[in-house]
Amino acid sequence: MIQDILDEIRRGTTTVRGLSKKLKVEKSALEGMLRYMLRKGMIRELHPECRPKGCRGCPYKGKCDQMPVVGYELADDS
Amino acid sequence: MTAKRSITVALAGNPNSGKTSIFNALTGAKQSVGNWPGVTVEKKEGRFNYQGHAVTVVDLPGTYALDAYTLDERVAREYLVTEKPDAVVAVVDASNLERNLYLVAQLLELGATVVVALNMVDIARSRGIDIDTVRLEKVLGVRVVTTVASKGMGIEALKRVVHDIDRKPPPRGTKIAYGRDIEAGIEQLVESIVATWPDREGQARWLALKLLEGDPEAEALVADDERGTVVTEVLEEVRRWLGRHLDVDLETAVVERRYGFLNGVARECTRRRPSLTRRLTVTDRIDSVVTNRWFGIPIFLLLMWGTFQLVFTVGAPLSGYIEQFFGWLGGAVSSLLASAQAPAWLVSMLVEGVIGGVGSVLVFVPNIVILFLVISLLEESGYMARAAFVMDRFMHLLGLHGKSFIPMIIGFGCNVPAIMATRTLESRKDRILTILVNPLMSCSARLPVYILFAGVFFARHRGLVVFSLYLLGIVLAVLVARLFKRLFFKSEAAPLIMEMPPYHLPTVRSILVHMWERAWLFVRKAGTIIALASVAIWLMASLPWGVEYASEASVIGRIGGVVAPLLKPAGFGYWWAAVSLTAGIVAKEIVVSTMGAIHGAGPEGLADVLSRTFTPLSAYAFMVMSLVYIPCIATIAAIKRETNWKWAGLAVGYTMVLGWVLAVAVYQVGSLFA
Repeated sequence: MIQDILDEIRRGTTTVRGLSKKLKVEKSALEGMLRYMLRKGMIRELHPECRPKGCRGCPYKGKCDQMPVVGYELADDS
Repeated sequence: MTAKRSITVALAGNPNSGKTSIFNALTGAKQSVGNWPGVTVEKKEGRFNYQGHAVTVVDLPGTYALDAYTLDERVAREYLVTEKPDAVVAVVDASNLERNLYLVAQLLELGATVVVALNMVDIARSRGIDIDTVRLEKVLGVRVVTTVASKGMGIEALKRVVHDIDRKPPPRGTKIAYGRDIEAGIEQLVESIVATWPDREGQARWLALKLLEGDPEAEALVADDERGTVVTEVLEEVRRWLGRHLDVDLETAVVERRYGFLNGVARECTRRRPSLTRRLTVTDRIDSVVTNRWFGIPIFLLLMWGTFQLVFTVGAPLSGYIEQFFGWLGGAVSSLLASAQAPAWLVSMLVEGVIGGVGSVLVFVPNIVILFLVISLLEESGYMARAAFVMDRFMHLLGLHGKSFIPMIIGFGCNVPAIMATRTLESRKDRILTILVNPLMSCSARLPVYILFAGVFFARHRGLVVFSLYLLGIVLAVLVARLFKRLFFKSEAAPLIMEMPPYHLPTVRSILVHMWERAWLFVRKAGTIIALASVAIWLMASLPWGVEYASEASVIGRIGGVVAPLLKPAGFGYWWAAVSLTAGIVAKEIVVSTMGAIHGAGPEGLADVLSRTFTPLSAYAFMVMSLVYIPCIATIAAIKRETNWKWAGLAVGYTMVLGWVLAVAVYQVGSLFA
């Protein structure tokens, strides 16, 4: 299953929803697998870019670690 | 078997599975709250009586697994391993069965007596998901009770099953088969564990699996006991053997097969009613169109085109009012100063230089505001993430990193933050490449040039013309990136998995704040850099003293006269056009303000001058030049800051050459057909 996810990512950019449909895995289960892959360093999380004006007015000011995940990318050695 | 007078049940479950509702429904007001030993994680205990028997319920922290990687997981696992409750009620969210079963599988591996509370079945049904509980019981080897805790449904049945645990023990939990290779390893380890610690027989398989997964706590447990040497030796041998037989690391192999098993269980026990599962959410419906393989890019382009139509149709009348205001202001200041007998140079500087220059830029504020209104609407609604996704496919076809498109979209606003946004690209090569092509994304500072020229020469198709320039910027960025990739960076682009946020209606406040930030930035620039540049241009257009203002004999006229011949093949070899482009390197808005300051006539008069000197073809060539040639100083500084002088120099050099080549090509090729 995890190998299938890696293979699908290597095949081209996709969405979590698209991947869940393709692999016939429940989206939440896929998210669990992605969590595991993150912990293992197979993939990296992508977060939104910081605002040009810095933290001022940013809803995540002081809590950057809570910024939503906008995607994942393969780690260099995956 | 004799029933115990009192039994203890642990309540386990994923976060948001409804565990707290079940706990409250089971125990009511009979709850006590404290902390788990040694940590600040809240521990809740409650009690209920059923047919004269007391049942203590211990609410474990919400976890997705028992892997001991988070504090909650460690607390839950520690309790289950050391306290060995009589049963564990695993609260499972029926609408997310597959994921929730992961914890159930680990509870079974731990040797716990598990009762599954299949919660939120109403939500699952409303989504067209029916779970065959009889089959689920059989496949997992556990009791399954369906519940809707929020409505108190199924709670009595759950109490009964929990109460009957001693009298009617549930079936023995199913053992996940991890494949012959791993199973052989587990078997060897179980044998050595049982031989070493006979009292751990019930948890031997779980411990073996944890050791194979490289669980640090399990390893410490073995290492800390001198009797564990044999187990460690067996573990090393098994790991070596499996390492030779598995394609992936041992932990991943175990996790993968566990997920594979659970995927099978979920499929076997779930029936999806097509009539309801096909009932798509609003987000699904929109996404099925806007991220469609064939429609995605045309829709993105259509939205861009529509944006520029809106920028013109709504912006033009508003710009007209501002234009009239500056016309009036120029006249009023002129009269006021004349009546105060101010020197002629001061009148000229303020009216022709400052008001003419700044005014010619500020008339575009409504257009800028509308552009950012639409961009922030698209961003806040969640569409921009889709745009990045659909364009990502296109970019990958050209060997570019998909993430590079996000800074490129930011570049529509301003190239400086866009270049800073490339910091999110981990690969240095991708980062440099994206930085190098970012100046080709048409920032809002170029918009005044487009609006002015498109308005004068392509009045009926001005939206389309501006759209074509934005599109040209994207196409050029892609082509240049492709070229640089071949020349300087030979590596493959890494694909992504993108998380699409659900669509939502943006709040008026967030839209207004975003719009205001951008508009204010533009106005502030007009009041500072552009005003100063306008005075400088006025001064150069007035020197040497006594020369006709903004004539070819002035300093600025002479400078322009040197550069102008180079621009002649592009159809705009006028000294003032050359000066405007040169001054525009300071900030792109200054291209227009310089023309305003030189001709000192405000946008209306400027339009007259342009229509007398340019043709539609040379006007388009000028816009192409403005789009491509040398980035503004702030952008060059940002490139240098993020890379080094070498790459900043390359950005300046290639944009200068490319801008000139394209402008000449547009004019010369166009002349063949004109």
